[in-house]
Amino acid sequence: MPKSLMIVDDSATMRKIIMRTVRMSGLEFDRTEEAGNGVEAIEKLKTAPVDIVLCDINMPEMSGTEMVKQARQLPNCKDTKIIMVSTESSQELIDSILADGANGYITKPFTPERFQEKLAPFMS
Amino acid sequence: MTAQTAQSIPLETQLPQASTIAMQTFCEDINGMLGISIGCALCQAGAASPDKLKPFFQKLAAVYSVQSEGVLSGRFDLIIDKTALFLLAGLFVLLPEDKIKEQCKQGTLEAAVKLTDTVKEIGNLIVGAWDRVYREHLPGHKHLLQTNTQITNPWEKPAEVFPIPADGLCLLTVWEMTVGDYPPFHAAAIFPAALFEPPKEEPQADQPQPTPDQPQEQPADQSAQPQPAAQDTQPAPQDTPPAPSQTADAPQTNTADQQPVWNAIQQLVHSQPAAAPLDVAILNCPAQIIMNTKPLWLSPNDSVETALQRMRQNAARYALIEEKDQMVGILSQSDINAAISPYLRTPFEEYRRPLDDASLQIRIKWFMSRPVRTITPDTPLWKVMDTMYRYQIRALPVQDAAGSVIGLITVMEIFHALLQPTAAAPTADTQSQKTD
Repeated sequence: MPKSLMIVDDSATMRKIIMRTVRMSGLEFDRTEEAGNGVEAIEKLKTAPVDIVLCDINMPEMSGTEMVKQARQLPNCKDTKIIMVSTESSQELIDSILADGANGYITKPFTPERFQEKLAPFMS
Repeated sequence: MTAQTAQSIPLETQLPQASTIAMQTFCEDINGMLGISIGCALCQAGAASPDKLKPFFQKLAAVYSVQSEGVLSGRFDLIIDKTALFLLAGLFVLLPEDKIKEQCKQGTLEAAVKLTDTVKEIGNLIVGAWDRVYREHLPGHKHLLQTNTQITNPWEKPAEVFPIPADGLCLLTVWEMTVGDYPPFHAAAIFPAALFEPPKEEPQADQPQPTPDQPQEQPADQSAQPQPAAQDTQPAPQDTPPAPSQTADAPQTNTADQQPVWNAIQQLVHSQPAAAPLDVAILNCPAQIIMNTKPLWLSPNDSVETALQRMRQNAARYALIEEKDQMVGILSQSDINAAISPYLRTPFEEYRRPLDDASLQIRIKWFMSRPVRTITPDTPLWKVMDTMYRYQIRALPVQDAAGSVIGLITVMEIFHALLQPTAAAPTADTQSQKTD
């Protein structure tokens, strides 16, 4: 079944590295989107929802945590799987983000295997 | 490292070790994420001023400001040199090898600024690795957050780059890092002395709370030392965690575990003669009577392993470094402890890996202290102690009028002289038999 992916990170370099690593993991998406912060991501999701969002936490304009909260209010994003990708590794923070509606958490540094492990369950 | 073990070690001692593990963890992270193998070895750690980093970080560098919460509360900085900046950024964005090498050599500030996004992300990964390692190795650590990234010449306007004056006191830790056959590069951490100050008492409810990002107004080297006036009535407790122990203009590097010695010397120097349980005449004894006339000499090209072996054989904690009949540096046991991999020493030795032995091959010229402050043979003992206290150093070579080094005085020679039963000056014969 075709799937779509959005990568949300304020660093263009990191968006490219994530994209490269996702491809290396063997996962295939028919459509990929990018956004530089939470505001931009929400605007794109309103008009063109995706199946999976990989989202950074510390971003200008709108943080990843706030983006999760707002995305969950969008009618067309109720089934979107949102996976946070961040260097933040505090268990307290991870628990809080999952409670806010995120579906998973990947700590940087990531590997292709890590993306495979976390995203594959949402690909079927 | 267990929490109990860690708590028994002063923070200033733990920090270079934990930070080295953190930097090595960053290297492992990069290897796992991008398949790039980075080597990392501690090459210097100790109390000094940021301008001591000039030889490592010339003209262009990336400086990451990090806000720390928990046992370290406040801002510290991480810095990577020009080669690191262009090399790591180039590897991140998959530039060809020849292009990376060209940029490492000829890259300009303008070219570096274009890489800001990537350089910032490198800092994010470094801080993330450090946060994980600190959480494991520094009891009481809560959180690290990268708050700013500057690509700049840090020495043009150092006050705008660092949280302390360029000649202020801080704990510096420098690493040499390598990637394949690219040129080696350096990274460093700058921990202001204010980070190590004991927590202040809870302020009254109507008093404003200091915020973590407000720098301390009090100069670090004053705050780290008890004031002489207070010492007559309140000597520093011996179990007080030591603070970085070198004044701004001190030419020699000292590790932080020396504070109790400084306190003792300071008390002795500043106490009233009538109150001192000593014959004050000893304080006028000239250096040439007290000095060790047979100090250990090493070559700048000797390895750490050789230095350790020679110092052990000679029961010496200090060695003078000689090249072409000139003294070019001084080396302490503490310098060596800071230079070798922390995995070679307790409490990390259980994690020792074959690679850690490589740090034993570092040449001492890379981390010896220089230039070396000296005294003359007729310098009285009180002046020797005052010089040691003023510049926060524990060893002073004695140089005659012709410029030849004829001996070495360390705090051990001083204690030996002061503890003579009659407080009379020890003879030159007894001194020549011992080394420090």
